[in-house]
Amino acid sequence: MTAYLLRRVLLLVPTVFLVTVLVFLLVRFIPGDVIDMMAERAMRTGGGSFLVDREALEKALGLDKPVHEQYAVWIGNIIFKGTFGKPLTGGSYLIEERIARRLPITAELGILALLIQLAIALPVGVYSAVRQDTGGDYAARTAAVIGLAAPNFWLAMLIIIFPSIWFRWQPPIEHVSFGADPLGNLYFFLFPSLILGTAGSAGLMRLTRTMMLEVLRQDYIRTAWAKGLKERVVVVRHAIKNAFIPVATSIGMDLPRLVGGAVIIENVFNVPGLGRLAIDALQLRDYPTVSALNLVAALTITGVNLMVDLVYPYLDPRIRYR
Amino acid sequence: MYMRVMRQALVIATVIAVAATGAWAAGEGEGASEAMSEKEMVTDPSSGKQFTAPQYGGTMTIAHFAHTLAVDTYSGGPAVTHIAGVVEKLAMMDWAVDRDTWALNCFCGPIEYMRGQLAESWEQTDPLTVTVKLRPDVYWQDKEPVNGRQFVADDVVYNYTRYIGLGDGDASPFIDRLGNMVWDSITAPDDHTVVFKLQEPHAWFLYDLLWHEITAMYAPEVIEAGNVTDWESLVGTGPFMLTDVQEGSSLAWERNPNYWGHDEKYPDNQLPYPDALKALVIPEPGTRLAAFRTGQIDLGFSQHGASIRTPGDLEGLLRTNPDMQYGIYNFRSDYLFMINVENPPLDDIRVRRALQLAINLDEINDALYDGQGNATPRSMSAHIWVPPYEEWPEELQFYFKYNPEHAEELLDEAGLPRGDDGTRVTIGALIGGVGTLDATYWELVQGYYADIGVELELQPEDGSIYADRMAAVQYDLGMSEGTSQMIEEHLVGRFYGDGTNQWQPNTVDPEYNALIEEMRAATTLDEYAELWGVANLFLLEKQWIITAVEPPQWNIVQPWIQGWNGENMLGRHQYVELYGRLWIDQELKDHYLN
Repeated sequence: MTAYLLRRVLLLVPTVFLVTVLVFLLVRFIPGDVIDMMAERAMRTGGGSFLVDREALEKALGLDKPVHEQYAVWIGNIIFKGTFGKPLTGGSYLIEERIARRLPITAELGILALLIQLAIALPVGVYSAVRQDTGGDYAARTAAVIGLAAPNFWLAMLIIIFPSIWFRWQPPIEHVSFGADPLGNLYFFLFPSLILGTAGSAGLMRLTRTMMLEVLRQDYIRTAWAKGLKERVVVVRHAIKNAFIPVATSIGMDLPRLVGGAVIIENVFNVPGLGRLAIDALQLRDYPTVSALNLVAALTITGVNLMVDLVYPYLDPRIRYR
Repeated sequence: MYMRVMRQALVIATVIAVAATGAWAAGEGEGASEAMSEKEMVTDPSSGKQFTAPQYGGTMTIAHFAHTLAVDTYSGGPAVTHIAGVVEKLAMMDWAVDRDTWALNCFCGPIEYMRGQLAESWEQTDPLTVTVKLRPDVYWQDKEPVNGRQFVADDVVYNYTRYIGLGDGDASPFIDRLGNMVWDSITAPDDHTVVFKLQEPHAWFLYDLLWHEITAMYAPEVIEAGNVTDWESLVGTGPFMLTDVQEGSSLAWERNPNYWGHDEKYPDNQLPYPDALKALVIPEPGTRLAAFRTGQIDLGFSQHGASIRTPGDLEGLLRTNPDMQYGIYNFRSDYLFMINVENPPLDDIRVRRALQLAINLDEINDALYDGQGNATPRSMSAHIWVPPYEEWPEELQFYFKYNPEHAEELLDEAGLPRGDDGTRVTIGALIGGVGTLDATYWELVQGYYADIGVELELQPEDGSIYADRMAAVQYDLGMSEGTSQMIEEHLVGRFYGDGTNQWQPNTVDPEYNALIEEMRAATTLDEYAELWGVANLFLLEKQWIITAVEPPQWNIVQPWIQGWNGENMLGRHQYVELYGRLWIDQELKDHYLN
């Protein structure tokens, strides 16, 4: 196990290096640059249309250097100074400070959404499999199909718009931290996490159901029934654990999806998380911030994958790493 | 049976919802009228409009579509969210001006309607010298490191020297024309006088000193300490002090209790009226609109991100919020075409004119904007210096009136007969940043051109690819901004040159070049403005552009906000100067929200 872990960690080194090159270069291939975008934003908010001294601004932002030199400075700062630097768009905060402020917000949203997703998907999926082809199973499957078909941004817009018209009520739009107001904080996250969670639960419920059905047809389950064990014991003690191996993988993969999928939800519900930061940075062509966010995302996904792999042996003792 | 019951339930629910909305709206209006009738009222001296008497207190909440991180305009440019209302400039528009004379809803600022903000007065004693007298009663906010000391001329000298890059420093990349002037000196002969001196005269000298995107006054002590990019160190002379920033979420300001300014209309009243100002960062237009509808924001100004984008949005909002106030202004149009005059058949003026004659601007305005846009033909720049359409020569007017029959005659004359399929020619149109409304606009234009046998091939591009192609002149027709509000030279300047300049649509014309050179060499603003008008008419006569409808922009304001006559801002990015002069009728607000 230790050897396996070491091997996997070592493999991360070239992967991460490639990722840094990609995240640094890709954003620079997008046409337009931060100077165009700053001028455009100034025009939208102030009405003016002025000429920016592009050369001076490029020099001030360090964009006048060749790309490989910019990469060397960027990666050097990360490795030797432990910083992503400052955003091109100004301010005194370092990029890592900005990410550190936004990450808990997105994480809270993701975790709440995941909890809601699990709370819906797992029991319903198990119930649906155990009571296959009953009215309850059909209802659950229909709900799942609807959940898969209804885009979450559409549901989010419905929740924002219609109550404001009919009841002059709108979900909260100003983020409050958990420390400052725990109830207010949970109320703020209730609707976005509900949307994300219910949307995600549809697919997971179907997967749980399928996996459970497969396991329930195994010989050892038949043996358990033949031994006269109660249904609860058969399902909970013998079936669920084995059925959940692919489900756990799926949950692992859902974590980054929840963060990625939260971009639109964060926008609609005004959640100042990483998704909003990414969109804003991308719109402004704030290269260092976009690269940093991509790097963090890539590392997170790689880390989560590793963790999921490490969980397998616990779920299925037949799996052994050498 | 089941379906019938469901249908009936749906109908009943809809009827109840509609009735409840209507009753709520009607009840709201009635109650508000009663509340208003018992109040002490004032007549606004600038507009004659009635408002409840000015009162202090409350938090005024606005919505921003984005949160820009920069704090320092020197390096961050003018779109700096934090500084609004904290730092001030030398001048702004006159809040007390008669609104029939100047409505204060234009982004352009005629110098005759400006008044001092930090400056008490100014004088251009000769073409090379401007003397500015500062208000003696201005103090910095009571905050480290300035601790409420007096604002003096040395502060102005320090800031302008820094922005322009006099001496050893680099100029701000955003200083634009002010940085291109040949400077002699900026000095402070006494604590309240600043003398700006040039070595060579420049038409924009006084104007740019008074009316500039970025020249806000920062405390020199903060800049010297290297803290000017830190919002917590921001200190100014303005009506509000920045107290909290939640990045990407909200910003909060509190009233500066020692603010020097008084309401120009009610001189006994110290400004600002609200105790606090709050900006919620709401990027999604639908969320902004819902926030306004539910009273979570007080002001929905277009420059912070439009909440209302179509007449339908406005109509819908008026159904639920019938007492809200709104103002319309025409800001800019991105529907105007620049024509690459090198590409046949667009090198023929008859074809260019035909393309203008084929578009019915009034019909587009009615169809898309309910007639609230500006369909009057115009050039690319602010109308304050360009002769209005009514004053154009009759022959020029003729070519900007909808006349598809004459358009067809011109195309026939130009040797472009209709083919078997009715098409005379195919022309490409480069367009950028297309939204739903834009798509409809272009479809309408396509339809008009199809009527005269011209097939318009739309080439929509992502914003930056579009910008690159525009700069490289890779188009037949290129969508460009045209506006009745901007006085920047580069719009008319685009047609100047030997054909190798970026953005120049191959319009090499020695007469036009000479005109622009003469304009640029002008030493007074009057002379410059006159030549500017001539240049605009010249490019219209050459039909280097196809004019378009200028869409409306809507500002929306809650009924409990008093003192608003439809104004937009009091200067470039000086919108908080306006908000600080409005007051919240708390009783009315409670009435509407509870």
